[in-house]
Amino acid sequence: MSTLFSRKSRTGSVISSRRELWKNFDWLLIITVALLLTIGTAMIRSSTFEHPTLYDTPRQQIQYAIVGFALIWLLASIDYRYWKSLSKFIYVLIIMALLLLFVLGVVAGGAQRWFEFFGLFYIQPSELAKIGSVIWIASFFANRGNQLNQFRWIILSILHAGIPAALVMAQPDLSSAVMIIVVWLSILWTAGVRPQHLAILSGVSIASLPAIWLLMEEYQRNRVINFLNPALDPGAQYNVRQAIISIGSGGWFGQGYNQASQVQLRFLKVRHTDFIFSATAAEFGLLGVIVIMLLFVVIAWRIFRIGNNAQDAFGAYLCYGMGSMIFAQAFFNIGMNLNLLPVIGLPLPFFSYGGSALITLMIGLGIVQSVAINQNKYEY
Amino acid sequence: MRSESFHNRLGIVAFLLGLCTLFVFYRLISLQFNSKAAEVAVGGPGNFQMVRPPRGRIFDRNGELLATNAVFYEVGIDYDSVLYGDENEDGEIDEFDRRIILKNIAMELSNLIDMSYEALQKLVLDDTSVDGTKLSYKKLKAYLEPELAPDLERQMQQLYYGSHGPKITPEFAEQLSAILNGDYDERVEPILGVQLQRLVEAYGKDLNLELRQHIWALLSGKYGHTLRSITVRPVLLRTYPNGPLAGHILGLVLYNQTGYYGVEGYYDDILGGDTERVFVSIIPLDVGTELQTDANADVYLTIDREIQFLSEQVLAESIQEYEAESGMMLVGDPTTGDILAIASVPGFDPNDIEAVITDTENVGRNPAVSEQFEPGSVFKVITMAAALESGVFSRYSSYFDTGKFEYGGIVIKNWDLKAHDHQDMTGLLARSLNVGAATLSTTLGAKQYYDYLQAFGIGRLTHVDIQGEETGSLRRPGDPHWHDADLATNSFGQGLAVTGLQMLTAVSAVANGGVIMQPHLLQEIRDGDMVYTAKPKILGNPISREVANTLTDMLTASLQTETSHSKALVGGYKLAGKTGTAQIPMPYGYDTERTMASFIGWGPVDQPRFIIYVKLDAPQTSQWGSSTAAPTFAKMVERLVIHMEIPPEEIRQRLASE
Repeated sequence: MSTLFSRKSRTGSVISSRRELWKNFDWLLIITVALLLTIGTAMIRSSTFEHPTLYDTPRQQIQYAIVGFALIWLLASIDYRYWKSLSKFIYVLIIMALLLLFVLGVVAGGAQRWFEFFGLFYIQPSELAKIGSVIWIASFFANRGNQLNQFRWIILSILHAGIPAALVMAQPDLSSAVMIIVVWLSILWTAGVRPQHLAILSGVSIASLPAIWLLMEEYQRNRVINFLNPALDPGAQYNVRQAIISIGSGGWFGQGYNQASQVQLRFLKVRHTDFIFSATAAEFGLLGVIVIMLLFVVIAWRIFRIGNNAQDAFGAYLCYGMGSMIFAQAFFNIGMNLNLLPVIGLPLPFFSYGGSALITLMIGLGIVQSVAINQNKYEY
Repeated sequence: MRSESFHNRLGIVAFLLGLCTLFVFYRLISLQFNSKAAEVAVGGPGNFQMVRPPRGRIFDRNGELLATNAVFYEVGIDYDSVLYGDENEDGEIDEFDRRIILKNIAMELSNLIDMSYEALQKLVLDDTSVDGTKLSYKKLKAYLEPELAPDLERQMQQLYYGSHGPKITPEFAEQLSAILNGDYDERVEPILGVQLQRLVEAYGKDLNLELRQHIWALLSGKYGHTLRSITVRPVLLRTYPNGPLAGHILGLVLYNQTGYYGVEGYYDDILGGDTERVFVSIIPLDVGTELQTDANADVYLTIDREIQFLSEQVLAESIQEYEAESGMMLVGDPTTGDILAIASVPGFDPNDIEAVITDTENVGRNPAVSEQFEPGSVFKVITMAAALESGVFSRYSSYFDTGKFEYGGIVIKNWDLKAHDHQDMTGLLARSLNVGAATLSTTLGAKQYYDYLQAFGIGRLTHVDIQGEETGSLRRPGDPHWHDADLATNSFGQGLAVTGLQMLTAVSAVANGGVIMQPHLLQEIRDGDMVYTAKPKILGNPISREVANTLTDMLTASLQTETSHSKALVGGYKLAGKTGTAQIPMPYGYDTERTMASFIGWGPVDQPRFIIYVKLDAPQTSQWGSSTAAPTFAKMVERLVIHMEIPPEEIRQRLASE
């Protein structure tokens, strides 16, 4: 633990040159992400190999990655504290976008998650809401650092985070809503919530589970039921069963790249997105997925470390929220692949195919890098 | 942010995250080293079934195909993918709804395959196995012709959207186009199931509207839910490309993949092999690929397909010409015991499984080994061989034929009811005199005579490799129903029973210099690179070479003199043989109307290549073997010498002297 979050002695010099500024840019974090993206794109290629409609996805993923790295660079060079002053504006903007989407969705008679801009690109407000939630929750707690021992602020934070979370969930997009809650909980914890308050919250949320159940969509309920009792509907458990079979067929070193029967014969479904972990396990074996998991641990460690060295509470909370979100996404996705958690449709960060999710993550990383760059900007 | 509390809190979180990672890691290990997963991973949804690998093929001695396997399709219902709904709208999904749905399936399927609604309904509704558990799969129709299977699939597809005409809502069109672009809303996932994935992957973006409609109908379950649980999958079925040719030799394979009768029954363990555990796909509408198992050994028979064809042809012609009820013809090689052909009428088509299943009279049994009958006068060959071998009689011995012979309380008469005065042994055979034969056997005495019969294998199994062989029947002194009179009547083939093959085998001793070769059908077993070749085996040696040669001479001579000129003779060839006309035993005495005409003969006499036994039951044009069975033999020999490329006697002599 001590090595993970060791305090770094600071020189205390006032740095103003751009060269000095970029000295603190976390290259290890970027390299780790680049590694994950590389392996991930290779696996996307393997799982969509010669597929009539999906054969082009690896190229698209590379395009998204390039845009993503550009975004990291851009956002890293913007001082993260601008986001704090903009947090209220961002909050209102995203709430409005979610509401608009909800209205449009009703008109279209189905799930509506996307905004299309001139047919060129799509924006998924729920993905933006994830980033936005990190910013405004971090800002909320940073502004009230000393008042958290009062329970009413906690209640207020729930309302604050709860509105966008509820709107996202109503889309319905359970996984994004869960991520917002994870971000809120992680920042709440680091901001210093009293353990007894947390206990009360847990009690209340467990008591409100039935209400949540009623709010859930039929298909979401079915997934939970399926998860808890697989024997009930063998057909619906198909994907998870195939995922487990894929993982099991990997062994120590896997069946080899582009070789796994489960992946290449397309028994494993959504193998380039939600179940790419299983595909990797089948082709690269236990060794391969240990490497993947280690890369995620490195990412979490670097982000938390940046938070640890952050200049102010806002910067620390940003990193903490972002790190938790990435780690939680990875954990949920892998857990879903291993049938530890119900299938809620979360991609594996930096690994699964999906432009919107990748761009969101890269934006988050850019903000984290900004925290890193600015960690020693001011003496105090 | 460097407060102590923040620090402690991060530590706790890191600890929790570490726990999560460890848990995931544990789960990963336990899954990754689950031995079952790797086994299951070879296929999609489905289950393991015990199947026998493709049966080995059967060939004739020249490598001509006699039996092989063809792909047919099995129609079944996959109960797991039946979609149940509240059909009677009473607010709950119960047994009533289940029955309604299953009946609908039976109704719609009965329009597609050749089965009645009643039969299908009965099959579909009964989804419990013998031990009371619920079945997940049930076979509905065992074999669908290969050409029907794609047609059935097409019809099923048409039914999905055709008659009901699903409407495509704008909402669905949107979802579908998303699906076809490879990116779809998770919400449709639960109803997509395996089928959509397969269809989309198979057709991708090229789907036309019709197919899209079909997919929708398939997925929505609203229009096409009834048939989505029906599966069509390939099964290997035994098939005999030559139809009924050699049907009785081959036997057949029933639905349980087990061989019955003939070679299929006898060599079932070699042809069928062990059952294997094989993964069978249950993906609905998936006309799967053939099951991959190791093939079994192929069996090569001593049968010659051409000779088999000739014998069946000649036998059929004779039966028609002489208006016989039934008959058989056996062709063998006396020097090796190779069976070259066995023809029998009525015949048997091994492709017709249903006929065998519904049959109560064992049509599949080969009459040549299972039908037991009184052989009649051809048996005099055996009696004469015994008499000569004993030394009591010689070729030139003679007796005085009074036309009557009294023994054991009965009176033996000749076929023409006449006396034939002084006769030598050749005359006895040429005129087929019962009085003479009885004289021989009674002179030898019961002990000696029956010992010879046993040495010839009368009343015993030949142990030929055909399933269902019978022993025949030979009563001896001491047996409950043996009478003194039997010694006299047995001499000309009455009061005992043989099988056709037993007769052929016994007489082959005379043709083959006194040695009986084991009759057999198996020539070779080929299992991949390994070849097992059957070697000729000696079954017995009842008479000496001298006696065999003498008797062959006598039979050749008797054919020349027999009622002046036998119809069994074929110009240019030296043949030996004996006719027989047997009365057909009835529960009380003998049939007064019908007879059994037979002939046994072989050639060329100095270097035999074939021995033929012909038997015609109840010929109407003439009751005598000399005018029905003998010409049938001749006709067969005429065609056989051409096929076997046996030159006429003159040419053979010339070739031998050169």
